[in-house]
Amino acid sequence: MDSETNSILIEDSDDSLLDFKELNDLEYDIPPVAPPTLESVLWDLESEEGSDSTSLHSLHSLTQKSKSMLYHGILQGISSQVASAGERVSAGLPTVISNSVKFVAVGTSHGFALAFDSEQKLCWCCHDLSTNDQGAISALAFNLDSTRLLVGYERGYISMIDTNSGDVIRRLPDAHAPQSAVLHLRFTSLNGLALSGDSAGCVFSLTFNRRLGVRTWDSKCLFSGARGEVCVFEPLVQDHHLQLLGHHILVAMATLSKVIVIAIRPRLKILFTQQLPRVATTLPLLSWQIVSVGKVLQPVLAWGRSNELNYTRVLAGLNGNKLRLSQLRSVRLSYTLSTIHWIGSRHLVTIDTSENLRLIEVRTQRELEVIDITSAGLVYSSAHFKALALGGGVSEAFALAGERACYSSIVSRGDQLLVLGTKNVQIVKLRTWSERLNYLSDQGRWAEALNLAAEENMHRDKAAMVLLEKFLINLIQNGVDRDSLTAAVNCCVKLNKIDLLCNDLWDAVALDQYTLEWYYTLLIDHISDGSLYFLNPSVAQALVTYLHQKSPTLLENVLLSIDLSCLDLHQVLGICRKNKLYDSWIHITTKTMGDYVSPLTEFIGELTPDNHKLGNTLLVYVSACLSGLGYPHGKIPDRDVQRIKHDVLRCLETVHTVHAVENEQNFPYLRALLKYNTRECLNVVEIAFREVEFSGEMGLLQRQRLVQILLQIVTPPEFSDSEVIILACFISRLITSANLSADEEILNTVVQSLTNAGDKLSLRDHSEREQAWIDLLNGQKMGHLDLDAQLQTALDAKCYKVVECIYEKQGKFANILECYLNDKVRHVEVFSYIRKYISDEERCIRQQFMANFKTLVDVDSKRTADVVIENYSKLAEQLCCILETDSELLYKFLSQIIYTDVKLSPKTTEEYLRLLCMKNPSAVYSYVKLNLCRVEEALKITQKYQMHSSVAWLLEQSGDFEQALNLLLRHNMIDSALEVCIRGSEHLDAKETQKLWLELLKHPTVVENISMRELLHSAAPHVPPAQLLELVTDANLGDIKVLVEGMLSDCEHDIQLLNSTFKILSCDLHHGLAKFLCYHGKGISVQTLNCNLCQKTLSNRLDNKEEKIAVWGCGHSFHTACIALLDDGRCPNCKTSATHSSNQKPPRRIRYESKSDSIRLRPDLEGHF
Amino acid sequence: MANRTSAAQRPNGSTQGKICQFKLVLLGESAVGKSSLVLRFVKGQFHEYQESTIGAAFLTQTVCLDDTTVKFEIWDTAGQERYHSLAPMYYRGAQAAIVVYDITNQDTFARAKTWVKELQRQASPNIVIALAGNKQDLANKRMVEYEEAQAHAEENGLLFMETSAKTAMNVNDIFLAIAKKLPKNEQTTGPGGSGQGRRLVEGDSGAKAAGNCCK
Repeated sequence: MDSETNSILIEDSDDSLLDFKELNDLEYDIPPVAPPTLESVLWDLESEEGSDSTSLHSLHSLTQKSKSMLYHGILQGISSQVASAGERVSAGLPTVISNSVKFVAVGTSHGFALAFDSEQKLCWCCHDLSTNDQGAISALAFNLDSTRLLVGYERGYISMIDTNSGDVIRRLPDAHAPQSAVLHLRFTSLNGLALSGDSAGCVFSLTFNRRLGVRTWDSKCLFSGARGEVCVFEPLVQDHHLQLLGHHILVAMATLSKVIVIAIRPRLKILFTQQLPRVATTLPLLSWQIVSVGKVLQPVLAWGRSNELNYTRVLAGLNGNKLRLSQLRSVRLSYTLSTIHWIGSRHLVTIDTSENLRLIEVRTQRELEVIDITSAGLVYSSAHFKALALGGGVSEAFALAGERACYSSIVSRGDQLLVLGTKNVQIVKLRTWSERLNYLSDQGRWAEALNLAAEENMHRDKAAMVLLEKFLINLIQNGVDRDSLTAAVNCCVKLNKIDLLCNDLWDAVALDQYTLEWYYTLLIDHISDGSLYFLNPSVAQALVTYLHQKSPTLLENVLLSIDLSCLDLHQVLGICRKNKLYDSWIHITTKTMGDYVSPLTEFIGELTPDNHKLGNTLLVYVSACLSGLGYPHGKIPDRDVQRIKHDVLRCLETVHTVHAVENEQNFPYLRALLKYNTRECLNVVEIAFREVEFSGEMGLLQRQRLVQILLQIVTPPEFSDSEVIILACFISRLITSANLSADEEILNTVVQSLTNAGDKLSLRDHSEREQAWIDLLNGQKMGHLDLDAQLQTALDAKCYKVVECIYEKQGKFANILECYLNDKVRHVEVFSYIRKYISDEERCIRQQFMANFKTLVDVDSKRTADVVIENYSKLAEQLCCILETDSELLYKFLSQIIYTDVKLSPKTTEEYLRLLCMKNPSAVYSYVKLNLCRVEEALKITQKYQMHSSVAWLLEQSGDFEQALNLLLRHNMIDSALEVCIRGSEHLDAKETQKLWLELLKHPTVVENISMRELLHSAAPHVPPAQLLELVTDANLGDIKVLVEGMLSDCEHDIQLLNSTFKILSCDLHHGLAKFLCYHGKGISVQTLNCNLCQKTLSNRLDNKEEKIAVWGCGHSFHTACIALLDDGRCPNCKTSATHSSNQKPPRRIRYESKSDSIRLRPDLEGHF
Repeated sequence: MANRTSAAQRPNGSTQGKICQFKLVLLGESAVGKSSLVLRFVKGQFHEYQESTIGAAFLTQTVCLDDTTVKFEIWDTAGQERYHSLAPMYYRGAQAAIVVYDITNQDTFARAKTWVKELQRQASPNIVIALAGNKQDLANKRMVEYEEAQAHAEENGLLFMETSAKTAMNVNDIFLAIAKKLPKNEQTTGPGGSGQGRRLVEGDSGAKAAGNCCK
């Protein structure tokens, strides 16, 4: 098929004849972009890249676009012929409508099928007599080529009509389930394959063949209603040239509960199923469209029910294999759907149950327009759904859902939609861009129309031009409002219609001052944002005049961004000159005339030191020119760079102006710039020196020459010392960096200016001067001058840095320290110098340090002290002596070192104490506590300065607590006094402690200053409670309560302690006794009855009758008399064994064989247990 | 301003509805009276001490010629040597040029000749060039003979007149002569018909618009 597939039935809006026409894209100058709206962006939502600014912009302006998207009209021709058919041949009311590329067919309730061509002429009317009994036509379907029409009847009959002749060529009386109405008929993309659906909910495929000239047909059940009744199905019909899915034929079907997509060719296969919302009173809805995603076309199915709307797309692999469906988005609507249809590939039309037609942009799901179509009297096919003609027999759910079935009364194709009503047939059509332009302009909605025109691409020029011209005519006749003017200017600028903008539009707005101003504002906006570059000279002239009065700065902006060839230079340059718009003056002069010198020559007279605007402009300008850059932006064309650099330099070096007056000074241009700002001007020169022109042999000469000139110009008294120094520094920099050969003359001048400058220089100048001087010295450029003389000059000029440098050179290290100290700016740096060279014997740091010690301390006592601590700790005493005369410095110094490890004599520490007493009494106490001084001396000093706390502390140290206490009490320092008492209690005996406390307590003001509680608590251990209570008679209970409680608890504790002690004691006693008894209670066996020593029987008492016998645990026994001599506590026989039981021995030894004694003791003990 | 009034008149004014717009450039040595000539033509004024032009000044004037309205966009360039490099910017797109010289100064005539050469070499091929010998009121100090200039003009196919901005002699005439000689028929053939640039498109659309509104 060719482009006719997209051919559209459109209607001439202003022509009441309402004939259909086939429209060619070319006629309307629509660029050949096959399906009208290729850049559909629905899918961006999924790919998440859909926020390109242009589409957002167009989205934004949609609000204003409303009510221009859809054309809604009545197809008068068809309507009237359907009506007349009803009247004349009693065809009945229309029931079904269908359209194809070439025809529109309408079926009626009495079985008539009417076909109309695109001119709305009746082609044929078919009323087949053999189907007289089949009742109303309930379904119609064209094939893709519009050669065949299938007609289905409510009693189940199906016939096929040749669309050329209107003859019935096939009859299919029993193609589907018996006793059911035909509800849907659809051809697939193939001419030989159609589908039918009936009121039993079954779907059949119908195949048509023509073998040997005989037309045959066959039907096959695809889907039986027993499993779930199919309400609607929709095959995906694609043009023959579109082979998106290979040989697959897809059909979307919807039952009451599910939506199903199946492939019926090449093999039957289910691809997709999805649940539908269960709303019994509504039907499921389906609509296919082939949509482009980027460069790929993809079929998209819109499906929904009730208030839910979904989009699903079909993804195909190579050659249309591996089909896959993926859900794109789901939308919930605020109304109940009764039908959906794609209209174009970017929009969807929905009709709700109240017969409101809505246009929805698919990508954004925005509702663009709403149209009421109730006037048509929409045809519903609920009777067919209930199969009333066959006496019902339809499931209840199916009949209920079919209440508002309008599947066959609303059909869509391309970007138009036909609505079949009982009253008329209506058409709803999506307007194309140019149609919308026409529509809007016809309605006088200029702003909308112009904005719409501006949004579109350049190649739709022609329509936009036509629109603009229409607008102009309207404008001249009716005046103009701001919005449409804005839109018109925008449109002109976008489409680059400068001629229109500047001639016709300007002429039209020039009449009204107010509008004109707005017009200017718009132009300025466009110029500023760079979208408008060229203007007609007349407009440019007027705009400049307008801006000149209104805002010179705005004028400057405009001048800098507009094409210069449209400016009236005479006017513009005059205005710039007058309003001091230097930037634009320079821009215009240099760009148009290539004259880079005149900015200098023109303005030099105006250059005063306070004219910063001009001064800076000129400096930047000169710098830019010398570096080959354009001013204020851009670049100088390469071929001009050489010339311009040369010109500008030559101009700077000009000795006299062209119109020189008598007393003009030489080098006026360079002089003026130097006078304006010497430092910056020299920076410009320095930057310029990096250019190619100033390098090499010739460049060196150039530089030399320029420097000579500079030296000639910058001379006192015209230039201040500071400026002279700046130049000298500049030149010395050049010399030392070998960018200038130092000929003697230059050098002398420089040295002279460096050395002779007065002392009123700023700090910066001074340091630069020193640096320059030093650089020259170090660079051996001053070899011809005597060092000593220079030293003297430097000293005179107070250039101590230079002096230092010279000393270094001469090796006179002894004075270097002084250089630092003399230089107020650098004197702190002396310490780093000292540290650096402290171990360098040659530099005699130590001697210098000693000699300048006072000054050093004055400069920074802390750092001095640091040096002393680190390096000269042994000299500390000596150094202190140096400071003796200056107590202030001594104090500073000592306060830095006293707290460190440096050993100092008591004399010094006491001296410090004295100073401390004078200067910082608050620190005395803590200092005294460090114990650095001799106590007596310190006592004397502190007493002298009445540092009571310190005195007290010292007294305490010397053991005189009482006196310390008295002193403190006398001065009412109760807290300290209390502490003295506490400390005293640790050192003194009880009596003295008590005395101390009593002293404290008796002091009348004590109670006032410390809380009674604290006092009593501290005193309690040392003062007898009775006495304490007596002293504090006036204390209230709260204060002494703790004391009393403490006493009571102490007492209780003591009693408890005593009891416990008794208990433990008696326990111990008892144990001791028990053990003793135990030992004594044990029997001892005596082995022999003879004394082991004398070998006489034990009974043989020697001399004394009182003689006793000693028995050892080992069993040996002796006469006591025998062992009396060896009283070493051991058994004389077996000494070893005796030692084994040595601990038991003594008691045993003293055991006596007098049984009567032991027996006597026993009863007592038993009494104890 | 002249062009504004013409614009205001247009909707109900020129019933013929043919408006042509031409770019015209004045060239010549400094102080020969270019600005004075234009000032006389556009505003009918004359200043004895006309300040010298900087760069180029822009003026417009509309003249009616039979059934057509001719709108001149006049670029009055500066004569000083330093502005010469500017001139191509103006004469390149121009449909007409007036080269002015001072009849009391032979040098200016020589310069005028070089201008003519430059135009013939670098401007658009069908540019209409007029040679104007200004300061005719000072004919007693004449240094350039009428015949000499006339001969030069004929040789090069130029329009030639001696003019005086002071007395207004021949001023309007020379502009009108140019307007007559300009190829107005090409205007209506639209943008494809000529290589003269964008002005023609304007003329085209303008004519159309006017035609429509007067129907």
